[in-house]
Order: sequence, then C-alpha cells, then structure tokens
Amino acid sequence: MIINVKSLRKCYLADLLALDSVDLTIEDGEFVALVGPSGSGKTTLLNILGGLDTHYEGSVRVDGVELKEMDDKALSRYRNTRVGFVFQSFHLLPDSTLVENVSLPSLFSKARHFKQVENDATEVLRLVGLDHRGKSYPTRLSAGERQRVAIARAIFNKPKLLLCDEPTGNLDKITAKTIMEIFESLNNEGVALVIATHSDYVAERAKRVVYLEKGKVVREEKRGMI
Amino acid sequence: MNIKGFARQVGRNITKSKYRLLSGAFGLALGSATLSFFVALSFGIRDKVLGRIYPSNQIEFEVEKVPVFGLGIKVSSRIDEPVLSAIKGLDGVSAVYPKQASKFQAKLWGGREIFGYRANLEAFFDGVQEELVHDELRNLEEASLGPENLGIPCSKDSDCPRGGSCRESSCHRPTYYDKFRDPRIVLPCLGDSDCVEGETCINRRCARPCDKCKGNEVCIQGECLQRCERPSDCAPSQECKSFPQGFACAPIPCSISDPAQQLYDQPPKSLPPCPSGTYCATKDLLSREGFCEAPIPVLLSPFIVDVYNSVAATAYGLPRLSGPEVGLGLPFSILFGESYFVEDESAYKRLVKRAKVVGFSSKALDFGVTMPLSVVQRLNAFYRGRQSALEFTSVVVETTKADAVPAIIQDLKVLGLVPTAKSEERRKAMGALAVLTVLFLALSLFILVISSLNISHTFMTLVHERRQEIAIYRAVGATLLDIKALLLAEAGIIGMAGGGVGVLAGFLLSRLFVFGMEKTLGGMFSVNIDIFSFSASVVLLGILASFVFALLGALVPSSVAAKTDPVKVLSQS
Repeated sequence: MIINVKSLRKCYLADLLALDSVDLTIEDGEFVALVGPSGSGKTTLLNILGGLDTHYEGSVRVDGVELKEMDDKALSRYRNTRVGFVFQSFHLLPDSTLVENVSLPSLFSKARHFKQVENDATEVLRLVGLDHRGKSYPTRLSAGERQRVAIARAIFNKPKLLLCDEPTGNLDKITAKTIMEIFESLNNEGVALVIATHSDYVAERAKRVVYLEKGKVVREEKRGMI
Repeated sequence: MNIKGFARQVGRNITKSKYRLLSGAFGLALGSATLSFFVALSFGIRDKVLGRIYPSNQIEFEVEKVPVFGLGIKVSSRIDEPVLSAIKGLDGVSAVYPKQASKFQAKLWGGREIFGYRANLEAFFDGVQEELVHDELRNLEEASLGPENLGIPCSKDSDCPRGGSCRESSCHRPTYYDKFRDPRIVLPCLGDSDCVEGETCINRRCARPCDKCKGNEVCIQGECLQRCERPSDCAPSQECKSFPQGFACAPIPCSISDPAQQLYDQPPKSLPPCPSGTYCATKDLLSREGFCEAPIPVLLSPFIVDVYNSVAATAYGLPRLSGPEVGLGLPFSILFGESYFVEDESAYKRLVKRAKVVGFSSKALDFGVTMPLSVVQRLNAFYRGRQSALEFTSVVVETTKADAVPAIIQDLKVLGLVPTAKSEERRKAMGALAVLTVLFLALSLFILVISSLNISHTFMTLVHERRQEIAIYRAVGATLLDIKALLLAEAGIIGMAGGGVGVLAGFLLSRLFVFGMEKTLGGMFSVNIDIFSFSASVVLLGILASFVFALLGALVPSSVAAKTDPVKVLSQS
C-alpha cells in the first residue's frame, strides 16, 4: 500500500491552519515518526491518512485512490480492513471484555463464525501478551496493558498501515519500551507504521522521521541521521 | 456487517442501558395495552354482540309504516315473490331470506323438565328459512357444546358416550342445528284454499298433487309420495309401504283413546304406537284419529333466557339457567287456534302439535318461537287462506359487501321497504361503535406518540452518553448505516418487547374486566359476556404499533448518532 500526500492543506476555522502544503509519501512496510510540538498538525495528518477526516484541500491517494472521493461505505471499509488506529487514550469500551474489544472491527466486516472471531481475538491478544486476560474488562488493566489491547484491536483485521497517535504518551519508560517492541515486531512483519510522538525514544526507533511545525513539514530524516 | 456479532452487540447495548430503556418500553407497553384492549373490545362488540343480530352484510327490511293518529299503518306495498325477485335483481344483493310471522292465535305449554312446573304462555311465532340461521346455529352450538367430532375412536354407536353416534370411526355428539328443517306436519283442510301454493286438499289433508311429483316420487291416491326401498329411506314418522305402483314413504295412521289427553304435558299413547321420536298428531282437538309426526323444530332467542334469568327466576325463586344449551332438546306443546287474548277458532281448526327446541338464534323472535318458514306458511294458509302465505312480514337482504348496504337501503325505499327497528338500531350502534373505535384508537395513538417522544428522548440521551463508543465504531469501520441500524435495532427490540408486554397486559385487563362483569351481572345473561375478541390480528397490531412507534422515536437519535464526528469526539476524550 502506498500513500501519496500532495499539497495537503487543512483549516479548522477560517484562520486556523492545521496543515499547510504537506507533501509526503508512505511506502509499504515503512516506519515513520511524525515529530513536532503540540498543534503542529500531527494528529490532523493521522486522521486524514486514516480516512477519519476527509475535509481537506490537496490530495491524499491510497494506491492511487483519492480518499476524499470515496463514499462512506468505501471509506469505512478502508478504515476497517486497511488501517488500524492506536490512540493515546486507548479508547476501549469499558463494558466489553478484552476479546470483545479486540474483535470490535469484526462487527463491521464480513461474517465470521462467533468461535472463529473469539479464536482470532485470542490469537491477537497473544501477540501482545494478554491472551490469558481475554475475559477481563479494560478497567482492571494497567495503562500499558490497555494500550496493548488497543494495538491488538488495531491489528485484528491485519491492516497494512498502523496510525498511532502518541501511543506511549501515557506510559512510563519501561512500558513504552514494551509497546515499541510490539510495534517493531509488527513493522518487521511488513506493517507500515506512522507514529505521531513527542518522544525521542520513539523517534529514535523510526526508520524515517518527519518534522512538522505550524502545519508544515520542515524536515525529514532517515534513521540514524537525527 | 457481521449479523450475528451485530445482534450480540445490540443485546449487550440493551443490557447495558436496561434501566433507561425500561421507561421507554413502559410507555410503549402502556400504549400497546390500551390499543389492544380497545381494538379487541371494538372487534368483540362488533362480532360477538352486534354481529350476532345481523352480520354487517345483512339487513332486515319491512314494509314502511306511516304514523296515523299514533298508530303505525302499513303503506300499500307488500313483500311477496315479485318483490323478492326484484330485490334479488339489485346490484350488490347476494341473497334474500323472507320471514313470515304467524297470522293466527296459539298457546303453548311445557318446561316441566327445566322449571319443575308447567308453564302456560301465549304463543307468538314466525318462520325463517333454514339457510339464514344454519351457520349461526352451528357456531353457537359448537361454542356451547364443543366440537361435533368428539375425537373418540369407535366402531359402533354404543362405543360413544351420551347418545353420540359413530361416524368415520370417530364419535360425534348429538347435534341439533341440523334438525331445523320442515318435518312435513300433516295439516287438515276443507278445500284447496286451506293449503299453500303447490298443495291441494286431498283426502282432507294438504298434499302435493300428482302433477307436482318429482323424479323420486310416485303418485299414490292422488298425492306425491317419495319412493323407498327400505324403512331408512323414509322420515322417522313415515313407513316404507307397498302400493300397486311400488314402495313409497307413507304417513303412519294412528289413534288415541281420548282427545282431551292431547292437552296433557306428555303426548297420549297411540295405537299403534308411533316410531321413536314421533307422536300421534290428531286431525284436530276433538279427533281421535291422526298420523304419526315428528315434533316441529323451533328456535328461541337467547334474549328469552336472559329475561327469564333476570326477571322470572328472581320473581318466582326458580333456578337460573346457566346458558341456552340447557334448553336444547326441550319439548313443549302448541295448541294452534286458541288464545288467552282473542277469540278461539272453531274446534275443527284447533290443532295440538308437539315442538322441540333445536337451537338459539338472535334472528329468532325475542318473545316467541321461530319455526322453519314453510311450516309457518302452511299453518298461515290453513288458518288465514292461501293468499296469506304468499305475503311475508320482512326480508333479510344479504349483500356482497358491507359497504353496499347504504345503496341497497336507498333502492328498497323506492319499493316501500325500510330497515326494521332492530336492524336500524344495529346500524346506528355500528356507527356509534365506529366513532368510539376511532376515539379509542386516537387515545391509544396519543399514548403511543407520547411513548415515541419518550423513546426519542431516551435514545438522544443514550447517543450523547455513547458518543465515544459510536466514534470508536466509526474508527474501526462502521458505516453511517451501521450506526443507524444499531440504534434502530435496539429501538425495534424495545418496541416489540414493550408491545408484547402491552398486549399481554391488555389481555389480562380484559379478563379482569370480564371477571368483574360476571361478578356483577353474573346469571343475568345467558350468553357468554366476554365481549373481547383477542384475535391474532389484534395481537399483531399491538406489537406492530409499538414496534413502529419505537422506530419512529429512534429515527432522529439514530441520525444524530450517525452524524457523530469521530475526530472531534476522540480528540475530546
């Protein structure tokens, strides 16, 4: 999956420019860190790349298809099968078990047998080391564990691109290291990662770092050149 | 969308918000209960009360009477065969059933079997065609006595309980409704004018002359008799007798020792004895000679039993009758030609005949007995001449559709016929019922609309509370339609559950209502006073109305939910 961003511009209000003339290409299996101060447009860029926000100017093409030209059904399918979101605040459903949280995308994809869905969810939980907690509820977990569940949910439908917004922002260093190990392992398996972060630790692990400032890409660096 | 997973999620959402949804469901249940209660009541009144008198596509007409000095005087028109033919030819008329009242006096006595003493009454009677009451008699009989087929396997009649008969290897209870047919009583005569059209006076009996014989009949001594090969080919009151022309069903002559015994409760013994179920009917009150006859089958109005229970039983301390079925098979005697009110006929025109109650019908005379039409016609001809049998008192017109009735009324007005008071009352009652039904429906709909608004408010609150959850659904791939469907499915289930509970509550309320009525008015009415008709359509209507109003209530909240901006919501939380 190749994403081509050209002259991307996004205004929230008439005078609040979130992104301005952003050009960016994300290749298959890349690991890109978006770095910049708060309000630099990192989250806005992730939302647009993930098809959550299609009110933009310019062009965002996924394998040649313009996101803002997709109808609701196609866009929903894109979010369901081709990208996964990991949020800083996890955004888990507190009244659902871990298995139910992880398998949430299956509600909106092709029919699978209930047992199959449960097995798949347990398998994904195993990848993040939480398969033994499948029947637990998110409220009983630590922040790090919740983020691992959020990652499990994001990769449940085996997407090609993970969009992560400050995934380690609420975590201590040790937990952040665990999370990053999971991300690196997913990236090694071919999943492209785009992580918005303030953390140097995270940025150091990315293969490419894109610096944003006031909605503009001010610098790009390959790994080892920071 | 994964339907099974989706259904599970809907179930989880309902469980999660059960207390909040309960208030919405309660309102729907209330609306549905009101709706089903009132609709069942309206249907019940229409079908069980008004429909009993006449179905909506039947209306009874009589000759219009004009008031003259306080008396209702008939205008010149009459109901006879040409008028009946004219009515049959009208658009929308499917059948006509003439009725004829008695045009002479009579007394009756009997009832010792039920009341414990002999009741003597003036006898008023009329005649109706068997086809007019056949279905009603069968339905009422089945409602009182249960299905005809008892479901008991058998090989012969003696295997069956209580006089039942074995047919098609299954026991059938004795039936009465099919006994309402002309038993061909023997009527004396002096001339042809004493007999109805188609009969002449032969050997001082009204009989069909030989020129009127049908294919299965043979001419014996100037009258048509039915051919037979064995006794069972003939009616119980006849014998299969050998004549030079062949075997034919002939009346069985009989005699009694004392004519005065005819006025006793039981028929006098005859010589030779008449076959079972028949008695010796003499030529007149003073005569010893006569023929064996089956009793005349008669119908009573259920109203008589109501009046007896509410007035006579209370006044004389007599036992109340549990229902019309206790009167089925009740024998009594009629003395035609005598009256408590007017002068008696001459002795040779006084006849004693036996009768038997074979059914109860709302179309029977309220105070009197109703016989097969041809019996009344023959009696009227005997007492008042051939012409009197040709004029009918009223006619029941059956239309192809209920809405054809107003046009028929207009058409018959031209012929000088107007609906009878009973029919007109029913029509007015139907109109009033229609207005009441609309009012009841409006009240139920009002409750449902309020419930729908309540559902709307509840779901709006839920959407607000669940906006983060909805945003997550959108982020993981839910379409706008999925979000709407989730909310509408929840509302639909709440609606159906509320509707189901409502219909059940409406049904229980109706039982309570009937129970209260039975406690208050118990014994006053012979007929079942359950005036509710909880048919499958009422149940379906109650559930469907609740379902639809729940969906309507959730329509706006589901649209609001679908419009939830995941970017905004997820960035806020």
